[in-house]
Amino acid sequence: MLKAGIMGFGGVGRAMAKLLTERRFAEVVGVCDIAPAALKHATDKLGLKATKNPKELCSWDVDFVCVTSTNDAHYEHVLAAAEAGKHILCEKIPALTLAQLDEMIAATEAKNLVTIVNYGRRWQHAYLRMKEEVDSGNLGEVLSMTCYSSRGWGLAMLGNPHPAVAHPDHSGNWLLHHACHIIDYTVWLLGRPKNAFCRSQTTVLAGDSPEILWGMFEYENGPVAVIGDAVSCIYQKWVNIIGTKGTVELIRTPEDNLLHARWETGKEFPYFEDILGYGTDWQHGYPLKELVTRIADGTKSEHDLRATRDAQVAILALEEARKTGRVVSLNEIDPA
Amino acid sequence: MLKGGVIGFGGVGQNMTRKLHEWGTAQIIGACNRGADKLVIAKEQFGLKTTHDPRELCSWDLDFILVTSTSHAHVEHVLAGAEAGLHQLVEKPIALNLEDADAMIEACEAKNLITVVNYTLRFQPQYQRMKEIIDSGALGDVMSITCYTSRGYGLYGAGARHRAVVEPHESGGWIVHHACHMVDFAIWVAGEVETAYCRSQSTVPDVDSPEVMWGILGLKNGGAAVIGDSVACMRQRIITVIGTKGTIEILRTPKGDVLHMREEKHGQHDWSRYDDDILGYGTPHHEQALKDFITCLNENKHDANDLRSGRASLAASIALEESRKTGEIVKLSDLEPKT
Repeated sequence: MLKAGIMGFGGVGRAMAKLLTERRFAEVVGVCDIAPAALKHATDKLGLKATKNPKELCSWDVDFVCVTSTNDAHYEHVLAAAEAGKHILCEKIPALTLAQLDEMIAATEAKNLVTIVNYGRRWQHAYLRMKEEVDSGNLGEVLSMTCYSSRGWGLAMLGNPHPAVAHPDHSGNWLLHHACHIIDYTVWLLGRPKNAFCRSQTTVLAGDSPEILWGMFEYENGPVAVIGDAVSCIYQKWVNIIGTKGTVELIRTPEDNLLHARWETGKEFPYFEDILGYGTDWQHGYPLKELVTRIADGTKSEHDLRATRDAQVAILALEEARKTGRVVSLNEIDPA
Repeated sequence: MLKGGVIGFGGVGQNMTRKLHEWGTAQIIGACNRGADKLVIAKEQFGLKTTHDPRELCSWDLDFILVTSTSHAHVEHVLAGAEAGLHQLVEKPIALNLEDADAMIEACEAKNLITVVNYTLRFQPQYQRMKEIIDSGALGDVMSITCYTSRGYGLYGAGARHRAVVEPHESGGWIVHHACHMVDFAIWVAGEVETAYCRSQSTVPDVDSPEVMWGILGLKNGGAAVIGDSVACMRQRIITVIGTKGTIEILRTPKGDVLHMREEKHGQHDWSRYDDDILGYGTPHHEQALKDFITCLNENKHDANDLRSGRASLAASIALEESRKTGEIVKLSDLEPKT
């Protein structure tokens, strides 16, 4: 059985360790974390090896590492793993700058390592179904794609800021930390956009830490893509893709998460005739399964570090647009 | 009983006439239309006097007119009605440019006429409830409002021929014609707009006529209003207002329009409690503006939803249209008529 190390033993790291064990994907050998409490939990409750030093973890007998540390540490941890020849599952956002991501790509590709970035929507059934409708041509040419996500956590001014809002030095800020999901999904479906524009708001008094943002991507002779992301208390996810042949939409209703479509047949009514399904699943199991499968096969994943590069450029362009109030060309961020 | 005339006897004009006769609150006695076929309907199915000339209609013994003609003609019809001293319900958008809008407002206000603009969301209970909650301060300061609507008509490329898309020179184009509803609602609840940025798409060949648009309006209070509008076949409307103290949203579901609110006190979300925050369900109805207009006439009082209140939406819609064409961020102040 494959052996795993967990780099960053917070909530997500522990969930991954549990999944790896329960699903018998791999044996978790040890963890690395900077927090003494996390290390104590690993050793005392789970009988795992524990260290504060990422290079030490990478020196143990592990086949792969799950990098589930804070976003600012992903760069150091992925490079450490690459140096040691370990395959890697890296939590989103893989890096906070494009230069860091490029180094991580180069280091892992040089060693022919399997890498996967955990942009979760790439593994959720409803999102995969929508991608199928786009890729198959059922929707025709995409005219507009909108992705909105409200995290349901709550705004900072109520006294319980989300850690990504409270610590943008670690997270990159809310746009990089959370809107990255829907930006990646958009770029995965539509490709790299040309321009970005963004507005944001916050209740954080000190520092630049957005809590609500709305952005638009323009494509060369192509669709308009809209991104909305909020940390506020209502939980909502909405995706709407309009094509020349039809529209598909995912929306959370009191009944359930609803995936429905309507085809451009000229019939105006009734509503909701074309329900494709209900429910979304959200678990870290799928990317873990993908990782162990690819390691076993010796094949590359389509969800690797390089596959997320265009999304990284789009994310950074949106952030630049947000800070400056300008329409920003992605070529400013990535001239090559 | 109040007596009225209808200028523009298409679907909207006919429906309003039908409703007034059903309610028995006013009587439509005449219709004016550019084309002859609608006047045949007016005469034979509704028993109305008919004319092609709006001034002739305005000279009849009327108390009010309903201006339900194509948008490019509103200025002529409203001015004719104002000259004749007639109160007016005017379809949206009020005009296609701000110079015309200002002339209409001035002419009606000079005669102290009662005017109502048919921005339908302002008159529907679930949206009024939303505004009440926002105005009460329950949501705190509005940081973001998102208004998306998909008309459900269909795209040109798939064979649909919405008139506003096919004849943008008369309608003003989809943004001015239809997105104005969403723009008006955003301004109504969140306040003045300073900037606009917009992108669009279309399946119409050879004519610059958007069918799908998205815009971000910069609000004077620092917030953002996001406007999306599409003529595509799926029918949907989603409005979300995020404030410093809570979020409220309306969205269309198989059970009807759901009004849903969550206050910023729950801390981490609890998905299972979605149902706790449902304020109600509703279905849209489009005649409330007409009812309110007649009530204003009977009570001889002005309505807050008058021509002047419809100007802001027109200005912001024109700014979105300008941004759409140029790809630039547009300041609304730059588009104001020079005095």
